Amino acid sequence: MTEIVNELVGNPAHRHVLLNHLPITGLAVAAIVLAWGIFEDRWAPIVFGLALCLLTSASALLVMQSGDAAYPLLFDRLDGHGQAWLDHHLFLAERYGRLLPVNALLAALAIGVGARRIAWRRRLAIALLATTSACLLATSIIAEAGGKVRHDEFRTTNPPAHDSQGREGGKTLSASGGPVAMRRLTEAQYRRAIADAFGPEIEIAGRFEPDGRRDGLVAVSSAFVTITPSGFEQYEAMAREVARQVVTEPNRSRLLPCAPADPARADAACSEAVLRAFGPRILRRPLAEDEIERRVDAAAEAAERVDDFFAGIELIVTSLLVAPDFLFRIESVEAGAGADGRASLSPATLGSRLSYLLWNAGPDDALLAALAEGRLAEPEAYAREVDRMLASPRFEDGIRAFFEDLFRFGEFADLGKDPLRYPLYSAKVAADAREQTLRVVVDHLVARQGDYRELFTTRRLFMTRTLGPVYALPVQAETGWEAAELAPGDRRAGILTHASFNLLNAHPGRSSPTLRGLFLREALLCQNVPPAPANVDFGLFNADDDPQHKTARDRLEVHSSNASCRNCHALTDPIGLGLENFDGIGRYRASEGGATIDASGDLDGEPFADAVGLGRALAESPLVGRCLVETAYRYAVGRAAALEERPLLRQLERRFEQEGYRIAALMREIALSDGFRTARRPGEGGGS
Amino acid sequence: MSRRITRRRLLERTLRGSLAGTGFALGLPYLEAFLNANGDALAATGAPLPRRFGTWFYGCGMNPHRWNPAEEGAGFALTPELMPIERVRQHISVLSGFSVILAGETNHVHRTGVIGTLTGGAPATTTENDGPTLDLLISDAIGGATRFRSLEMAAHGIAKDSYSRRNENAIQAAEPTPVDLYMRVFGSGFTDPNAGVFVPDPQTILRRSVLSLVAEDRARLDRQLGQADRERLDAYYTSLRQLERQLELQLSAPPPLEACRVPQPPEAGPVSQDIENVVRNHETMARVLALALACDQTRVFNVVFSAGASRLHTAGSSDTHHTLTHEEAKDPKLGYQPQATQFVMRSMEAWASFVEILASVPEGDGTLLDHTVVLCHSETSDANSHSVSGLPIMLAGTGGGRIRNGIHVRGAGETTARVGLTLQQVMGMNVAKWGFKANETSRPISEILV
Repeated sequence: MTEIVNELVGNPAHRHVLLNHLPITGLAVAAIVLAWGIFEDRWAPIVFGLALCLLTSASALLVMQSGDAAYPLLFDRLDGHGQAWLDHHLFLAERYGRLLPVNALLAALAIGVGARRIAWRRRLAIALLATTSACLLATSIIAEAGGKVRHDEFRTTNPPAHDSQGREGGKTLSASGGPVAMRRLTEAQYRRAIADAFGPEIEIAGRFEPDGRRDGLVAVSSAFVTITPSGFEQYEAMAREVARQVVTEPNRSRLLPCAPADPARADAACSEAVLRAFGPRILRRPLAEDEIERRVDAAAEAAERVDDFFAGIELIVTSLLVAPDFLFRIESVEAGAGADGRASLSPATLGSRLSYLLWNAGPDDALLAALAEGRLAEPEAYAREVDRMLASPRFEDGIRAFFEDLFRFGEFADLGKDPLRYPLYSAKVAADAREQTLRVVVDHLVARQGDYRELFTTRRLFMTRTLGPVYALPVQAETGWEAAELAPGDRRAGILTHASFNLLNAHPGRSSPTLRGLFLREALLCQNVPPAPANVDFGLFNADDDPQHKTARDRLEVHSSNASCRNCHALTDPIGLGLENFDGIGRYRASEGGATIDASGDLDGEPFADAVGLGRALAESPLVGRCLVETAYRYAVGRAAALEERPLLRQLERRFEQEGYRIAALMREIALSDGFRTARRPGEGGGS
Repeated sequence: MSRRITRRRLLERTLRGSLAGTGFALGLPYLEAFLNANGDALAATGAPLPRRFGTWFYGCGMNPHRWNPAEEGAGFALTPELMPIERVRQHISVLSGFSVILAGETNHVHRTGVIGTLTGGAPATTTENDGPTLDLLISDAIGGATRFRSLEMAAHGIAKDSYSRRNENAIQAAEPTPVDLYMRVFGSGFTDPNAGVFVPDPQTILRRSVLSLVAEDRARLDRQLGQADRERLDAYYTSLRQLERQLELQLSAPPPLEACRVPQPPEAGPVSQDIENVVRNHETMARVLALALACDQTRVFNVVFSAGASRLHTAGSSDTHHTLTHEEAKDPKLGYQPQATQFVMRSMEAWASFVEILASVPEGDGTLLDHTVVLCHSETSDANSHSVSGLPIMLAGTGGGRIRNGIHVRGAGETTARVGLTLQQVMGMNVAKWGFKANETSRPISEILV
């Protein structure tokens, strides 16, 4: 029978939707027939009712089988809200769905017994009526959640979050998560590694390979990008330049652990000391003896060739800085996986993953020592190390890097604004706007240990003289930053009203409600907005200089009046228009072209009057916290979460909520989770 | 064991290099008898003059009814949007009507057109099937002899807007300013082939030993990796070998080149998407590139004048070229969008000046352009509707007398892969068939082949 149904409808999601009526409607009919049989006390309707019970209850197996098969197909097509409901639907099905096969067995038993013992027939029927009614209730509850997966208009509330307990018995879900990653260092990470190893005085000049963005993050893209010939050329040139600075005075006496016996000759002992001092720091792991030997030998040859000990040191330092295991964070797992296919990360990998997550930098000496002594393998010692790193001032750097990535601030590098339309704009305005938001983020989340959601409502700010005119605020400090607090009732509150977002998500010469709305949906709510179709009829569009349509709301009206535009723009424009009081560089304006700007709208049913209200609605949206959890996990492991990791994400989400949406608590939970500390073993075979 | 072998090699290099270390100088004859009697080969080596390939991309297409010529063949009448190329029309062939055939694939806006032309087929998704692009196929075949396999540059100043892609994760970033381009080519590591005196830099030998040290770690790393990451590591080592090759070349005296002149370093000017800045930076880059080619530093290049969905704009305007193509009203009298079309005209002017600059450098018995083929293309024809049918395509230069210039060929809706196939064959590659799925073709455009 399964084959026939399979042939009829190949897509398990379709099959599931077709079949799911059987257990519900069928059980209802069976219950009515049974009740009639009980009332009449006749065997014919009773046995008919029991048979119906048997068949329709058994059909639940098909429904569950197709549902399991449909889950992975469907999951990625849903937005965060739909995904939550899908998980809840599955959770309910797993908890209550097993009642139905039991009911089918009971019905079969009742038919068998009732055929022989006439006296028991009525009592059996009453018992089955009771169990069948219970099954009917259970299926209705399951189906109600399923309906919300299918129809977003029914999703007026949020489902409860589920932890892994509810899902570990899932039939299609094995426990193996993602593979290890090989991530190219970002520009910031490279700069930080050089500063950590040789001090901040070392200058780095060169062009880095451009970062990509995948699943919304540079951190994920970094696990996919390679190094091109021109990129390698640049890395090699930068490495030589850094090495040259390391061996020039006064750096050489400050940095090197030893001095050569004769500066014009090779000195193997000193070369080795230099390598042992810098090697582990740069490569983020202890060096093997043969690696040391080869480099010391090469340094000796170089020194003898040009009669300069330091030429050999330059060679050593350069060789570390162009090494693939410096430029890439190459992760590996321990030998011997558990029965579930998961293996623990090697200590060096775990240490590096941890320090890049929490500090956006390589391990410090204390962590390297813990690695070398094998202390991270012990859960309590590992947790202590996590707590030490969370308490370090460097945690700010880690949070800053995470939010720079999440907010797509890397795009500031390619930002340009029209100087005639925005005479206030300068590269300094852009740099300060970016820094301003990051300062608010770090101050609120790390220094004050605040609730993540309050970022969208906080009135605390940091200002510079350069930003003063953009914000129309007086700034006392002549140079540098000063803390400020906007008055209650100010037209700005929360980071969405900062210049940074409004600058970045706009055109060179004007604002863009669509780009702003898209950013909110994708980055802050983790919702997918489909790309525009190619064959858009732009004849309907109202031109920018059209005197009839002064404000963006007027011009974008076609987006909501035309059906093919509406589907996607209904997601972006209404919330993006909430920020229309901020122009293309984030300056406040009450009107555009002489017409008053109407910044009201609603965020998924939550009405707001202006940008401040939009921030409040966002802070109250249940999707915001969930989205941050998903994004942080993706950031931590360098890939989108695997399907099997959904329960873990739900658990993290619940912990985040319990911990008052504090970022340190979230990062701690991620660092301690199995998903972070283990990985699937890379495929065997094909090695060189 | 492999370690010992490598060490021996290192020692050999050391011995060879000790000559250079003492500052031994080599005198070379120069500035006389560069070429053989026919003027088509270098007298010094007997090697033929290098043949080059390049791409020149601009964003947001054209207005088909104002761009596509009416007549085919030579002597076709220039249309309004082709008027800017008038002064160099004898160097250019126009290919109209060639399309990326979608055959059921989605038209990913501002992406399908350019990736389709350069890879020979419509990409299935917005993130995959990005390469290898045509320029890389060609540089794999002809790029090995020069210091750079290829040079990428972006006149609008954005390094990551490059369409030279091994795949979606290996995008060859562009030099974003004239100064960057100049420093890359004529900065450290450049040896003037006509300097007459050649002194190999002892640093070059040390740099080579660094690279061989790193190369020895490979086997250990490979063992840790899954298939996909092994391929990425492979790309890293390919890049490393490319630099080794470059250093190798720097250790021997380059043959003298008559056309090679070392340009003055350009002054750092404003870099932005303001059309005036882009035009100015483009022209400076073209001049630096021309001399990079004349000095045989590379034989493959990729120029981006503006990116797909171009954000070029004029000072004081709230619009960009891209937003104008969608939002500007068609002038009912003119029948096109006047402001958006202005950007098309400026792009065509820039293309003409690019061709003119290559044609202004004498080489052999002709000019640099005579030994070069440049593919000019865009990601749309009519940008308003994101059309990938009848893309604007032009070829400049004869590639050493192998391509006819000055004619118009009508593609009648056939695949742009025919253009890519023709170019690979012209560059001497043994390719009979190119493109994938509906765009696969085995028919070069015979009308332009000499």
